[in-house]
Amino acid sequence: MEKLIELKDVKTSFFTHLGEVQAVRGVSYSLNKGEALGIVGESGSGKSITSMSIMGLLQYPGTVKSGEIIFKGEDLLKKNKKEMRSVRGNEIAMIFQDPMTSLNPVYTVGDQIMEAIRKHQNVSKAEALKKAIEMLILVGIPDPEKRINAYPHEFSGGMRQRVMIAIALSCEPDLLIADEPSTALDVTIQAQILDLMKELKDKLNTSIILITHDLGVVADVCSRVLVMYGGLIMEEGKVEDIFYNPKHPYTVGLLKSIPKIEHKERLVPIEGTPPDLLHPPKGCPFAARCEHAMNVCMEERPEFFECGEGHRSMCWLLHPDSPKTELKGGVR
Amino acid sequence: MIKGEGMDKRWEKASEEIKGEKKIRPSLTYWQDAWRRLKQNKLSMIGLVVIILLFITAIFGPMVSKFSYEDQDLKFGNIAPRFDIYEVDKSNYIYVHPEYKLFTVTSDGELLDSLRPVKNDMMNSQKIYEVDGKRVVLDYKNAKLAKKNPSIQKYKILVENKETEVTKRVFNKTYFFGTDSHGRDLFIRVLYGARISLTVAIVATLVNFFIGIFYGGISGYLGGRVDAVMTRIMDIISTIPLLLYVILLMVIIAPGLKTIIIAMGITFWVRMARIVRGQTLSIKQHEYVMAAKTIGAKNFRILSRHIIPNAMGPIIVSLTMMIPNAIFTESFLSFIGLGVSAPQASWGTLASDALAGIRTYPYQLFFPSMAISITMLAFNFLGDGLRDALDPRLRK
Amino acid sequence: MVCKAKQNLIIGEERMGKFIFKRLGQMLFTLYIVITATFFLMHAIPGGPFTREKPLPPAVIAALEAKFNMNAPLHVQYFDYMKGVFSFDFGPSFQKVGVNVIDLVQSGLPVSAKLGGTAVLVVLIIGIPLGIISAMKQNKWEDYVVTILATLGVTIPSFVIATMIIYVFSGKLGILPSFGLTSWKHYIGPVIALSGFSLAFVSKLTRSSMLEVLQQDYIRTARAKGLSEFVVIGKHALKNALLPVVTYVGPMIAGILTGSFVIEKIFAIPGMGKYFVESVGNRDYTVIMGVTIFYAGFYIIMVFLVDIIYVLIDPRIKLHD
Repeated sequence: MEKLIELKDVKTSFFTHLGEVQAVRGVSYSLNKGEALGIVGESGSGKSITSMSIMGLLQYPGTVKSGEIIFKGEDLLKKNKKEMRSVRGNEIAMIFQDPMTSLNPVYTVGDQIMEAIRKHQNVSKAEALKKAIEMLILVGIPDPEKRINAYPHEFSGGMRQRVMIAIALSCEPDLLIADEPSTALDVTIQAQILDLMKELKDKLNTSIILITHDLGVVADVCSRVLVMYGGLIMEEGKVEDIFYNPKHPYTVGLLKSIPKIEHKERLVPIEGTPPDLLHPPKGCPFAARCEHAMNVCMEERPEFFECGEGHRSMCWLLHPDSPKTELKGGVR
Repeated sequence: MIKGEGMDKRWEKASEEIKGEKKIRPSLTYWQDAWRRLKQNKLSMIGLVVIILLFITAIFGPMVSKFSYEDQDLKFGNIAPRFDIYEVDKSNYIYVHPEYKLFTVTSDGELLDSLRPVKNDMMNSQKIYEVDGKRVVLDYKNAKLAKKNPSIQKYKILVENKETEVTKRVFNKTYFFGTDSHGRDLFIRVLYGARISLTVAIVATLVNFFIGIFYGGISGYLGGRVDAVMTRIMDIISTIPLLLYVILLMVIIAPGLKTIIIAMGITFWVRMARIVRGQTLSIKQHEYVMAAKTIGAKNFRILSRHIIPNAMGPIIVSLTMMIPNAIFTESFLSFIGLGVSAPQASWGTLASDALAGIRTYPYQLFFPSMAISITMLAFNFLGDGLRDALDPRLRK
Repeated sequence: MVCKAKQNLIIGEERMGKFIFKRLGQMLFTLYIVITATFFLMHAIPGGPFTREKPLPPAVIAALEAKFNMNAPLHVQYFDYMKGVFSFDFGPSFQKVGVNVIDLVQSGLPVSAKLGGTAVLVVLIIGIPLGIISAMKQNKWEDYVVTILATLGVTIPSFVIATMIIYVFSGKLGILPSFGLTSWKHYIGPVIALSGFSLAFVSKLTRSSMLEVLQQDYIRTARAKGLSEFVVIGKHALKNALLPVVTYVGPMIAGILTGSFVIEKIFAIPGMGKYFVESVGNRDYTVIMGVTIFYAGFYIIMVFLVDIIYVLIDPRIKLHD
């Protein structure tokens, strides 16, 4: 399995007039070809900004302070604007959360798909049209020849998201980043979209990074998971490890707050609010809300500790000197 | 977990206080947040201060001034707020008016009296005066030449047959802004104009406010056919260029302050009604309105306690922007001759009167224009600031 | 595939046709109300239009009586007037003996049209790009300058600007003429004063509209596709940002129209605006009525055209209600 993309200690900040908001504070991970990686976290955890950093879509005043993003052997952060433009939409594609607003209302759906195709591939208008219709068929839009000339407002939310996927995959990218693709949709539609993504992943052998705050979605699509909080990775591992054997209090908390039909227990939310990224805590970002927090957690940021094959967690509890604590969590 | 001595303090559980500091942030109510944001906007605050000052001077200024807006003194017509004076001797100074008249003044710039020439020697283009026993001559031989060649002086002053230069330039201490063609104090007239402009603005705005809220609120709240008909009426009214109708009305009902207010009241409420209607329509859907209805609250109560207060944001902004609009309309109407009649002074009439003498007496135009501009700027800044402050989307 | 597309087009055209027809009807209805309202307003003048300080010259009275049939019952006068309006005959002027209202309109209209037309062009050709630049360079010096100028333009009344221009450029510097409209130099002052407000407003509007559009998700999508910034702004952002500006064209024309009254008076330009203001001062009722109807009609037609254009541009508008 070859590495498709690798992030090395990426730090992204927004230099606002109020100060430096450190959105991503040192994130490293890698993704193999054909893999589906899930990134989970609350709003403000840095999960979306990390992806925007990969795509080079950060707008002023955001910028990647340091680190490397190696994609197919090249550091994306060293590319100039023109080079990045030929990567975006072509080798790496992204779809976003709200399909209702992600399409330009004054141009037809066909126009918007063909635009992507014609930008990156040297084809004629007629060929682009043909390809666009094929994409609509691929994502399951009925009556594609007619719908290609329709405007976004003539589609439902689920349909629009399918169009977004069609646009993203039209140039057969190696990597698809999906930022909360199903969050804004009804549960049943959500399932459809996720199934579609799984199907396309297998068909086109596209690697996927799926960003979400919903662990259930991750379990469905991904093979590996990253848990992020406060601009840092808290825990990383295979889906089974994270779900059945979580090694970080935050992950445990997340799992506890999933409602389950069988168990009639109360939902246990995690108390408190996310950290202020303008003045990030010097210790572990989760310490203030963690029931197991120790003094060291407030003072020093923990290192990563291995807890299995491909399973690591950034928590002082895993340090050999720390008191033995049983993390009661995980799905049964 | 009990730890023995010598154990590293690091591994002890962190106390709640240490954790607690990091947890929560306070939040403000809508109005507190809006006021805080408004205060931060320097331009808006400047605008607010200017408006307050304007009100104060408009209300109290005329009370403390020695002139009234209609006091005329024809001999002091068209005197500038700043002029050159010549020294006749240590206790007598004179000022030469552009119309070749002489005035005695103090060395500070206070006007004393106009001088009648002892002899008007037209053959030699001279006017001869006597000032406190001294012979002063105004020689205007070069007047015609000076018109073609501006570098030549138009006239010369000779005191006891000796050519005298300008002594100094002083501010007019009698009439701060100078006088108009009828010798009326421009300063007081500008203040009086402020009264008129502000009165028109406020009254017209209030009238439009009430009509607009009433109409728009009912239209939006009742919905259905009533709303459809009422909206259609609003559409028809707004398709017609309103200023034209204001003008027409002014022609029919004699022009004057009352008419301007009536005319504006009849035509400008549509914009406010539209906003109120829009707000009502969207607030109507909110749950607390449904809740109030289920309790059995009467329509009027729902409107006044729930809907209107929540719509206040855009309403306030609209009000603040209506005021400069009203001031502008009044000035505009006065300028084309449909405003208040002489001797009343509105900024528009002042500007219109000043047009005729614009080359020689530009100050007559300057002051009312500045007054209009500054007032409108102040209201606009305030309005812009209010709009930003009251926009819930910009809440931090 | 092709057949279905063609079918869509035909249905679309039918809908558009119906829409235009409906709007046309509304327009004519409004026009009718305007003419009626004007007529009744004029006849509501207490004491009637004939009782004034100065008695009218007998020739005029004769012409008026002949034209207006003053002693006939009101509804007859009304119908006569309506007939007249539709044949562009507004009657004779009260003040200028022997001159018909329509003559004044005919001589003043081309002048005013040239002035007004130039002003509109200036507003669109300069205002929109300024707004775009201002939005692109938000908070940098270009934005700062444009915003300040725009604020001044919106707050300082046109007649103040006009008088300042005359004072500075004609009086002190002597580089611009101050009356008439005979050479291209004559256009500068009046056009600046006339377009000032609208120019400032359009650039402010374009700026804020553009800023709002740039925050939208679909702009992010466009960038994510790898499109060049030029295409993102010029294709995706621009069309959306200009929609509110199109809506403003109607009020803008109204503003330039009424602004012309004051500007033509100040710059002594012999256009319709000047005649209108003079007739207001002279209480020349037939001229006032005729010119009002003319202006109102023109404005209503413009609003109608703008509505049509807006529907053509924004596909979200449903034509069938």
